[in-house]
Amino acid sequence: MRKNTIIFILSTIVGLYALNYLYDFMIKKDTFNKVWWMNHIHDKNYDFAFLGNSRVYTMIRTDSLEKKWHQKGINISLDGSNLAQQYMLLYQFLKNGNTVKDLYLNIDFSNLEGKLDHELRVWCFLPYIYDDTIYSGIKACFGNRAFYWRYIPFYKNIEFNSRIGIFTVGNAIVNLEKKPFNKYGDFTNVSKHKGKIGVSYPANSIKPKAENVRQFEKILAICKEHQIKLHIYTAPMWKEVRDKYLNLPDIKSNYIVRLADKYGAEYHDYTNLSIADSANYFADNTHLNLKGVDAWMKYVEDFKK
Amino acid sequence: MLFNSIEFLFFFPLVTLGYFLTPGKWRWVLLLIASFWFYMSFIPWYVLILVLAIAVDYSAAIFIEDSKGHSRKTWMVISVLSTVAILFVFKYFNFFADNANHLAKMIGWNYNPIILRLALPIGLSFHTFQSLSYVIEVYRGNFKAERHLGVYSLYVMFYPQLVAGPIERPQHLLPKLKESHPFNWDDFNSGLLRMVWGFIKKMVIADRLSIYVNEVYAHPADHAGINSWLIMYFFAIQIYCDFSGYSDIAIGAGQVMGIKMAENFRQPYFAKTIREFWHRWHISLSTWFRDYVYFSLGGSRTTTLKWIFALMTTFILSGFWHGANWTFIIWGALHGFLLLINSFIGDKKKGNFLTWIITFHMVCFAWIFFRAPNFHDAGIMFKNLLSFAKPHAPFTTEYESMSDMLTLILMVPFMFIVESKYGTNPIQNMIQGKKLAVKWGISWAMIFIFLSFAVFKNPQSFIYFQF
Repeated sequence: MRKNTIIFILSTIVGLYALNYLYDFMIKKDTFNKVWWMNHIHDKNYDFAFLGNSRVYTMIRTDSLEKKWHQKGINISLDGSNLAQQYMLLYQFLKNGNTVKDLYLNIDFSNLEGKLDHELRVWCFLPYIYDDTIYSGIKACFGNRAFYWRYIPFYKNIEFNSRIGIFTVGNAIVNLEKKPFNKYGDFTNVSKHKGKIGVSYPANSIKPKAENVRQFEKILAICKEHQIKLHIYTAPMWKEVRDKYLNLPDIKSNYIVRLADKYGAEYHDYTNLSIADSANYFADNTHLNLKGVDAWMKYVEDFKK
Repeated sequence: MLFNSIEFLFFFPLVTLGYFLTPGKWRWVLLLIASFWFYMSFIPWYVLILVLAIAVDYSAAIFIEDSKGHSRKTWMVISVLSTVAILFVFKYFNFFADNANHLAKMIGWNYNPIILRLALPIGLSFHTFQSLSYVIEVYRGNFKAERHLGVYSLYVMFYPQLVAGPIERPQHLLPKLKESHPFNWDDFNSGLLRMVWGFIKKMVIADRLSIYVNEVYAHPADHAGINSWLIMYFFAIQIYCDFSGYSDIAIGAGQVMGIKMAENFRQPYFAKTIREFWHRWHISLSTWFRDYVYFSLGGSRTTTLKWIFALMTTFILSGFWHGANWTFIIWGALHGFLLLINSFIGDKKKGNFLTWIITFHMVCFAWIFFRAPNFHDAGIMFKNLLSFAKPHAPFTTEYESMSDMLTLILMVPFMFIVESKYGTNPIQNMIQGKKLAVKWGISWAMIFIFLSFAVFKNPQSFIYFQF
């Protein structure tokens, strides 16, 4: 009995290693998730790319820009991502042999104080945690948890079993869950309606976190390293959200513009556009609806003037 | 410390290892320290309440045993009153104060009610009832008072059953805490498999169902028609999997150390009558009320009127034991009433498929009072059951995904089928007498099911912890 129990425990551990490998292998085949989809793009040359969170993912139409600019583009933004994750996205994109001439990075003021260990999107990167750069990016946000995810076999798949578990492996085989973005990486189901906005916000000051600033700087640095021309901008948001930040000028000059200058990038603030004043353009406080995207894209098309 | 927390993942193997490495006569020390640690991980200073109850009941039992005549009863009454007083202060004081205030307002007397701002010590109702059981058994002469304070303390505090039972009788548990249990591979494996099954019920089914149940009970007015029916069934399954899952983990954790505890559930939803349901649901509590309340009030061997009184009092108290809220009292009264009807129309008859359907639905309807925070919401839920209106809000929540629903569709029938076929420790019973390869295959499959489908995000507390 004792011998059998010990063999059972040991073979269970070996089994967990095997499952870990199998799940990672299968999940990496799937493309319904933006991160995994991007890892299927290799050795492509792009004239422009857009990077950021959901305010890029849902508010940019790469196909219309391609037509307008007569250039090849891609939207490599990820909804719900923080700056560390946006760095990892760009890193993987470049590591896969892709190139890009102009990168448009949306930075929101709140990105600098955002929660680092927000779990919303970290699972997307976990199958790639064995890459040292990805690991250090995750570790910067999640500390020791990154260690468990990397070194305890199958632990990441257990903790996020509803995201990178058996159903995702099954989906990789039957391809049931369709990706919510088009071939350019743009979200395809932008709301047509005016959303609930106008909630009055208490006045607030942004308190940037050193790690967020460091991750922002890493994006700037990797662009410089790969000779990518970086254009930083802030897309329109509902005026009340914008105006709640008391130290906005300070944040802009001390963190965004200063760092942009340091790495030779330019910054444009579009939060004061007239779009920001009309509730009809918004699906919620920070995301434009279809009508809003139409209006915003006219400004985006002018980025290249 | 929740059983489904990361802390328990370290606590349990360390305590178990320590238990078997410690010489037999000192194991109670290790278990007592571990139990203190376990309890103090919730609200540390509340352990003093437990210590006070232990001191009172330990001394009272010895006084009862050493006394003769009337003073035996006096000591018993002192012990029971002081234990109930603790329960009253922490659990029921505000309920009575609030109701007195309402009553006073009705007769036009306005005064400032005293409201105690005290958090309910976790599992208070469980360990106070276990202490009461001990004192009553000593008083009745069914059990000799325990002279070893440490072992008695462990009887009240034994960590697997400290916060949500099973409520153990002294005859059953106390001798086992004094015995030296040599390591036994059969018990070890069987206990672990029982725990795995408990974790599957709790973390795969109950925690997943709670997402839907919490959403609908938070906004009952938005969920008429089919939603409310589904949620009624969902809660019935949730509370069973949550509580019996806890019991499985507790019993399994004890069994790993060779300490076998009383069974608490025997597939209650397969009961074909309400009487049968109560022989299968929360057995340690229902037998507690039967032995110490129902029988004390005369039981069934008395006049019909007195029997009805005994039955209804027992069930109303049982409902009140769960929580200081009128909804729990109604829940208890409803079950008492159903049991009366059951007794009048066919107590002797064996149930059939129809009575099973009726029993299950009666139990489900009663759960609405148990789950709803107040009468108003319970009323909306009942109204929704009768409505064919389209729900205002989607049944699903933002957490919902196809995988969650698919998991429930697969796992709920699987759980009921396995338990109906293999009983209370189904994995162990399933592999019993099978070839090694089959044993391992089934064990791995169960572990795989748990690891693949359990909800690990934001561990949910056990429902019965609040009692």
